[in-house]
Amino acid sequence: MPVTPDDVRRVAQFAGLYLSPAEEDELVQRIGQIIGYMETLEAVATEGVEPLIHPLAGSPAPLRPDTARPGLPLEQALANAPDRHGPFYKVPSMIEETADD
Amino acid sequence: MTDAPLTELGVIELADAVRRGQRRAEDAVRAHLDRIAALDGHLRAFLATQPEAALARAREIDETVRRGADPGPLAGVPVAVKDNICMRGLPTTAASRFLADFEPPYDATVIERLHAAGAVILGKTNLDEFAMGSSTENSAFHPTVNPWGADRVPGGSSGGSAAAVAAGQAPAALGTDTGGSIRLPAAFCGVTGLKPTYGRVSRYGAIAFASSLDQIGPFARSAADAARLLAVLAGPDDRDGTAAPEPVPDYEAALTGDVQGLRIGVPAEYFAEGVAPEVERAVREAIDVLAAAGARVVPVSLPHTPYALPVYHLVATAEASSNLARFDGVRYGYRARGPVSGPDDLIARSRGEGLGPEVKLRIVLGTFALSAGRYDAYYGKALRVRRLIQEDFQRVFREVDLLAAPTAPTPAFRFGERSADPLAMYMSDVCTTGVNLAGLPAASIPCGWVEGLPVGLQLIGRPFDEATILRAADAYQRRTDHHLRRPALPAGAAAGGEAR
Repeated sequence: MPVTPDDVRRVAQFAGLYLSPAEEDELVQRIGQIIGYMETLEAVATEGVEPLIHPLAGSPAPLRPDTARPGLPLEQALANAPDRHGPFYKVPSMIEETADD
Repeated sequence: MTDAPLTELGVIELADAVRRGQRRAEDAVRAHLDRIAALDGHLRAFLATQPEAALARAREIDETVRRGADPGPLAGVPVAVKDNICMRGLPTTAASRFLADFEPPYDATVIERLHAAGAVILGKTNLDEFAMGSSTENSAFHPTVNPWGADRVPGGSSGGSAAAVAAGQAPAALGTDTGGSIRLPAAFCGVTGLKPTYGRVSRYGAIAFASSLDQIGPFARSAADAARLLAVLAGPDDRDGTAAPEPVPDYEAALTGDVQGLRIGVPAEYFAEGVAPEVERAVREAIDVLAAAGARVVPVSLPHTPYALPVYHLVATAEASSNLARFDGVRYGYRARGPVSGPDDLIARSRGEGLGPEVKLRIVLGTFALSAGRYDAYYGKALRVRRLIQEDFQRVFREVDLLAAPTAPTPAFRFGERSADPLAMYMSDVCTTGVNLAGLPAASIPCGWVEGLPVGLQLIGRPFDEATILRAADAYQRRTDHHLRRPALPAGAAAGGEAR
């Protein structure tokens, strides 16, 4: 399956990733090359083989007691925020302001 | 040995000398800080150091010894930490512009455990951005130089940690290994590196790349030192649900020097086309050393080995595309400046400006492999082949106790040599990714030289049987001296003296 510029643009949009036109061209070429290599897997017979999602699949995950413990204090949680407003993270306006006033 | 320069002492020698009051932690830390100052203009293994905090901590350890108490099994041991492991007091950047100013509000579990064992953390080491790479050339900040050759990469992604240990800037370091990122730089830099079993060491506080593959592990200059470090790092952690409850054995007690009767499998597929003949020779000679010591060498086959690399890149990129979605420029990390049309645009532009080219490639590739219409053909297929790879290992481990193979098909390559071709770069990991897919433990130890560059022997064990890997590696190191060779570094390198 070849990788098209449309594929890369669409997927980058899913991934929330801005790409410049030059980056898009580069990724079409590189990903096409890598995907071609990955298609060597088509040669492996996998009918009836269960997917292995992680290597310890089958061993039960250890559980801890369901008891409350202190979370990160507000000031520490906000210390790395690029922008804040009081106790909140601040982002650009989501609701467009109308010009009809 | 207690008179040796402090930067030449190993972990066990140094810790035990500090515990006995024969050497001072403060002197040891100062000697290593001096060596970093003398060498790191050339090597660039570190992204940041914390001299004041390290010296203060060392003085506390010396005080503990003066009081007659035991500071722990790593008393006064300076440690370098890969900069994708969160630690308070310094930024944790993952060598990404995106996290250049990120200061974690907490310590990773492995950092807590090092502190509790008396270790002193010197600073944070360079890596490929978000641990994505095999040469440390993908660091957003600067490359790291291999101590064995100024024109050579140190391997990756934990290149800074491996270079620092090889150069005597620290006797020990932490790395992470998702597809070979501890073992490859250990091989390229001539040090001992151990990737523990998936679940052996808590990943709480490690910046996630591919969650079904990532493990934290130690670098040192001997298997015995790695054993001391692993005993501190390993064990369950109720903040990481994948940290396994299996008991942690006494790894140092396993180092008997005896490999009589140990069955060592040699997988034919790991010596296939692409492995340099000089590398194959060095690895086979190392296996001969273990055979002469009484190990039984058994030819074995892992037939799905050729598929490990494509499976790895599908699984790792798919998981990375999900893990890296958290870097949105909202709560921490880089935020795009200038006008944006709304939150989605802010996120896409912050990621577009803050993340480097290899990271973007992997996010796009992983998202592509998971997208509707492609999922079964790529990600689903990869997970099925992954099971076949794990079953290969399970089958041979019914007949053998350990596998021996090259760590990498070649010695360290030159800067820029593989940058233009992603597949050429990925081939550096052809001998290491299968181990991560199957969740196994494996070490790389130096076993020979090609034109002055180290070659790595990879020892692969059964799940949670790090003890057998360490026993064989230590037995080999008792009979050989490759791990004792040190690189000749530029003049001006401090020899590591006492505190003034």
